[in-house]
Amino acid sequence: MTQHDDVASSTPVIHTTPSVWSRIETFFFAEERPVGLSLVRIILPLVLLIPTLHRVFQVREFYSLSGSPTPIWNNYGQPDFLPIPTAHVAAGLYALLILALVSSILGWRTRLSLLIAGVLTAYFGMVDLISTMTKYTVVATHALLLLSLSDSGRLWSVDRWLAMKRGHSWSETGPAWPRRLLQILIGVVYLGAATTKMHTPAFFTGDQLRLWMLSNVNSANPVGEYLSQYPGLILTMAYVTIVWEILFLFMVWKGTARTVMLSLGAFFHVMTFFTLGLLVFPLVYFSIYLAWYEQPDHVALCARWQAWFGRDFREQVRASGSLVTTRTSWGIPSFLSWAGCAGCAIGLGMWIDHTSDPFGDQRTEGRFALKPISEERLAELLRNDQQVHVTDKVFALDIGSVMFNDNLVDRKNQFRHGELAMVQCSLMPPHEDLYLEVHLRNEEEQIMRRMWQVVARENLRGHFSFQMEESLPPGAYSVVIKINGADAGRRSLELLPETSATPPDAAVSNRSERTTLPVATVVSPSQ
Amino acid sequence: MRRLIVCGVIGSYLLMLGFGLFSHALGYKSTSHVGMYFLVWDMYCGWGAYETRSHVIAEGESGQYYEITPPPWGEFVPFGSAERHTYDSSASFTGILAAHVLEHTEHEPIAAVTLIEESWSKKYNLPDSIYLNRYEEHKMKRSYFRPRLLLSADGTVRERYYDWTGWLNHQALADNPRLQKNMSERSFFTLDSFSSPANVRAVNHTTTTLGNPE
Repeated sequence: MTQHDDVASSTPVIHTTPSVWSRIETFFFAEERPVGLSLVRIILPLVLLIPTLHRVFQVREFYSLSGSPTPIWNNYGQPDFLPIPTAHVAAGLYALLILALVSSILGWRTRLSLLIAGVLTAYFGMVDLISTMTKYTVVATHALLLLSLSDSGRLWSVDRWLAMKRGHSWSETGPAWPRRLLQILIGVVYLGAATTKMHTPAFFTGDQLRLWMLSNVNSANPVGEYLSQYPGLILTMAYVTIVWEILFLFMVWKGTARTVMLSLGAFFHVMTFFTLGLLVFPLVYFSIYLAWYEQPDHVALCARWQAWFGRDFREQVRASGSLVTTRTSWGIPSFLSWAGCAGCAIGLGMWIDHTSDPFGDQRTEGRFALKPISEERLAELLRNDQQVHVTDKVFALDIGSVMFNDNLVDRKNQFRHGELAMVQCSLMPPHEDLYLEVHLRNEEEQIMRRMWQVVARENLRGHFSFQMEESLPPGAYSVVIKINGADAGRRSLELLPETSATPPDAAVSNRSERTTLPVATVVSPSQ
Repeated sequence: MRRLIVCGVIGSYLLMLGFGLFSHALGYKSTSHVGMYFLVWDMYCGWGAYETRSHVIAEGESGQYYEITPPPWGEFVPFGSAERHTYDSSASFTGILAAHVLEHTEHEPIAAVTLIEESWSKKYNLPDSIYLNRYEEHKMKRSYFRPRLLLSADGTVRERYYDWTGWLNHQALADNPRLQKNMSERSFFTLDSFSSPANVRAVNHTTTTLGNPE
C-alpha cells in the first residue's frame, strides 16, 4: 500500500446525495430553455388544424342549435351542462379557434392563444360527441392547457421577435414543471390504456386487436387487414404493448431506457396508423413526445446539423441566450392587434355562416326533397333478421400444428404420417352454445375421421386434433366443420406421401387396403 | 407566493390524473360526470366481431318510406368510410339527427322514424385476395338488418330494441325454457333516459316480438 493510498483511506468520504424533496424540486422547478415545449407548441396546433379544417364546412350542422349537435353531456345524464351556441356564434367561435391554433403556431400572444385553443377544442368536441370528440381531442386539450401555463412562447415565436424588435428584455428560460406535467400525462394515459387492456380478456388472446384491425370505422388500414392473419405476431405485439405501457411512466426519464421507451412508443403509434387506420391520434402523440426534447438534445442536434450542412446553429443559440435578462410583460399594442385579428376572424366566420346555405333552404329550385326508398331496398331494410347464417357463425377455420395461448399460429395444409393436424374453429361472438362437429373427408367426400364437442357461449374457439395415422392414405382431404348438423366451413388438407423410397406398388397396395376400412371413425369429444 | 400557487397547480393536476386512473381501474365513478371523459383513458375499451352501419328512414303518412340518411345535402365522413350518424353507437341522437333533416327538407307528413342497423361479419372486410386465400372460397358478404329504434315524427322514442350483438347475446341466454317462463311472467316499467316521466311505459321480455317494427 502506498502513502497516497493511506491518506485516501483515512480521509472520510462525504456523499452528498440530494434529498428527495431537493430532487423533486429540481425535477419540477429547474430553469431550462423550453426547446421541447416550444416545438410542441408549434407542431401540436399544426396537427389539430387537420381535423379542425376538415370540419370547417360543418360548423352550423355539428356545433349549433340550427344543426344537429350531439352533446356529450346528454350521454352522462347531464342535459344542459353547457349551452349550445347559435349558428352565428358557433361560426365565430370556430373561426376564433382556427385563429388561436394559427397564432399558437406562430407564438403570437402565445399563452392566450393556447388557452383559447385548448378551451375551444374541448368545447367543440363536447358539443359534437359522435364525429368530433375523440380521446386525441382530450389529450390535445390537456396539452394545450399545460402549454398555456408554460413558457413555450419564449423561443421561435412572434412574441420573442416583437420583444427583440422593440428592445425589450426577454428571458429564454422557464421552469420545467409544465413540461414535466405533460410528460407525466403521457405516462398516465399509457397506464390507463394498459388498465383498459387488463379489463379486456380478449386482448390477451389477440381477438380484440385482430377484429379492430379488420374494422373500417377509421381510415384505410390494409396493413392491419394483412397482419390480422398472423395471430402469433398479434399476440407478441399485444404483450409487448402492455409491458411497454406499464413501464413507460417509470423508465422514460433518462439514459438508454428513455431511448427504448420513446422508440417503442414511436413504433407503436406508427403501427396504429398502419394497422388501425388512425391518423390524427399518432400525429398528436408524435408532437407531444417532443416534450422529451431537451436543451442538450438540441445542442447535439445543432452540432450534427452543422456537420451535415455546414451552418452553425449553435452560434444563434448562444446569441439568443445572451439576451436573457428579465421577463417581459404583455405588450399592449401586440395584444390589441391580436384582439383586432380575433375580432376580424370572428366577424369573418359569422359573415361566412350568414351567407352560406349548407342545407339548401335558399336554393332557387326550392328546398331538398326527401328521397323515396324503393320497394326492394325497403324490404331489405325492414327484414328484421333474427338468426345468423350458419357460415357466419364461423369466423375462420384453420389447420396448423403450433398453438400459442389458445391460438393456432402456424397455418398449414400439408402434413405427413405421424404428424398432428390441429384444427381450430374460431367463432363469431356472440354465439349460443354450439354443437361442433368436424369431419376429415377424403376426395370422394367419405368421412375418414369425425370428432365433436360442445362449445359454450363464452368460448371463441373450438379445437380438434387429427393424428395423421398410417391408416390414412396420402392424398387430398378436406376438413369440414358442421354446426348443429349444417356445413359451416371447409378447409383443404393434403397428406403427403412418405419421403422414404417406398415401392410404388406397395403404395398402391396400401391404398387399396385402406378402402376396405370403415369410412367413419367416431371419436369422443376432443376436449 | 407564486411558488405556492404553482405547487398547488402541480399537486391538483397530479391528483386529478391519479383519480382518473384509480376510477378507471376500479370502475368507481368513471362515468359519474361528463368531466370524467377527460380523465379516464379507456381507448379501445370495446370490440365486436360485426361491422355496423346505421340507416335512418322515415315513414310518411301515405305509407311511403324515405331516406333520412344520408341527408340530401350530403353526409360527413369523419374518419374512414362510415358516415357521421353511424358513430352514434348507442342511438342516443337519432331523434336530433332525423329532426334536423326533416326540418330542412320537403316531404309529406311523417308518421314515424326508424333507425335500422346493418351488421356484417368483419371477416368480409378482408380484401378479396386475402379472403380467398384464407377461406378457399369467393367472398359473398351477408348483411343482417334489424330495427334499433322507433321514433315518432317529433323525436319521441316509441320503441328501443337491442342492437345486433345485444340481440344475439339475448338469444343465447334466453334460449332456456325456465328463463323464458320466468321472464314472461314479469313486466317492468322503463323510461327513456332524457324523456319526461310521462313517457314511462310497460315493457316485457318476450323475444318473439322484439325488433318487429310493425
